Amino acid sequence: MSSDQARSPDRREFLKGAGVAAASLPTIIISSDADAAPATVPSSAVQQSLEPPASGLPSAGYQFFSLDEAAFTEALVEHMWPNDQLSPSGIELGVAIFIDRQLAGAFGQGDRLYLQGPFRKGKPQHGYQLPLTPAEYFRAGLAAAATACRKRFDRSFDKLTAADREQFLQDLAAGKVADGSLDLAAWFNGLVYPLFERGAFADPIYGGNRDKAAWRMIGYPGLPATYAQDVVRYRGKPHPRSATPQSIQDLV
Amino acid sequence: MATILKEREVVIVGGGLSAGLLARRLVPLGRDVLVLERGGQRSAAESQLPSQRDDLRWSIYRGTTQRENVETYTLRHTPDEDALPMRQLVSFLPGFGVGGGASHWNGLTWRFQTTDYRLRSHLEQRYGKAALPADMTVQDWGVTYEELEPYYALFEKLFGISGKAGNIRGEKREGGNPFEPWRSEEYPLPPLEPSEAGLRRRSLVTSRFPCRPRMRAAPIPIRTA
Repeated sequence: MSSDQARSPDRREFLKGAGVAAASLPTIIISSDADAAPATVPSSAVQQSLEPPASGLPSAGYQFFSLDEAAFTEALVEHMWPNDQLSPSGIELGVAIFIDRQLAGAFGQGDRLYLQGPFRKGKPQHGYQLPLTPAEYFRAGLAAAATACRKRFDRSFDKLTAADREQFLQDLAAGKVADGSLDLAAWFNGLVYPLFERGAFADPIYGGNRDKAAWRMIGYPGLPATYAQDVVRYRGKPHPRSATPQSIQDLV
Repeated sequence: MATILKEREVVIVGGGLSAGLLARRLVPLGRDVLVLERGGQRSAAESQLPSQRDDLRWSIYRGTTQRENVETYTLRHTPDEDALPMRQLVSFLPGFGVGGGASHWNGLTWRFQTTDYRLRSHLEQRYGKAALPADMTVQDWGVTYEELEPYYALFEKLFGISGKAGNIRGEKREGGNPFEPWRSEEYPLPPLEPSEAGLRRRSLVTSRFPCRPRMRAAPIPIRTA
């Protein structure tokens, strides 16, 4: 089946506007009737905002993020992984780049996700039921979160104080940031946080965990971590490679 | 237009672990065997270092398991609920590609209990015939553990299973799992070395239940490939 066929008409309807505008909130209605169009979106949402964030240009050449999305994501990873005596910051670690590349690539495009109907709002135990690829989901959630942030603080997330960022993210994760259509707690905990975690700790070949800084921070030796003989040799002791972990590139 | 292949004596659908075991028996008997696998071959480099340790590709993105947009399942929790597609499989992960589930399994190869093979007889014997509702379909298998034991032993040798026997022909052995069904011989390989976490867990459990040594709460070396 071609990818065009896989994208059912109701899904295309949804996509017309779910994605792009950071300023306008997409109204997502997952119908209880599978035949009804699952989404209606204000047409103004179709146009992507091209205004650069006032904070200036993003720190990297992004493939997926708009400038607003880059500003939001960079502020997010910078807050969640600050620069301190233990490690460089989230941006320096490459976490924002990692998330951007993952969303632009096979994962973001939902290369293995089942994306045919019926689309219904399931129970939490039914797992993910939206008609969106992970990239579209990230984009729609970020737009909704950005709108909620502006509504509450009258400024964008990247302009918040550290204390306000912290409060906003805690509330987001705890389901205290309401959006009419998207479950933002599920979005943050099920998509954003795992991407952040992977960006920090996945092998550096994927663009995050630059210089294996996150591995060095926790003393993880990298690929040799599971060598069977070392289980006995270094039991209860720091691994000799704790400070100089080995990644895939080191063993090629 | 369908391609008509040459007629074969034996066709095994699905190139997983069972297919390999079956073909291994059939080919030396002179049988003409064809194994069909939808997922394709996996290169040797992918299953060796360093690719093998690519957690993002293999573990997080589950590079060896069934792709949901190729085949998935529907799920409902009660008969009157509408079933919904499982868009991302989470804990039930069939294999994909030659090797099937064996390319991402956890290597745990438990034997069934002797009573599992005669479950109806066992339950009736133990709780009385009235204990089983009339519509309960549980049955004896028609083959016994005793008949299958040599094949368990053969499989464990083929896969180099490690562990510590807790019961050799009815004789309990210290350090092994006292609840496992009897085995004809010791495991082909000695148990894995416990990790630091394993040792800590063991000491925690044994210190928590010091007054009940017969309870054998202490972790046993797990049988593994």
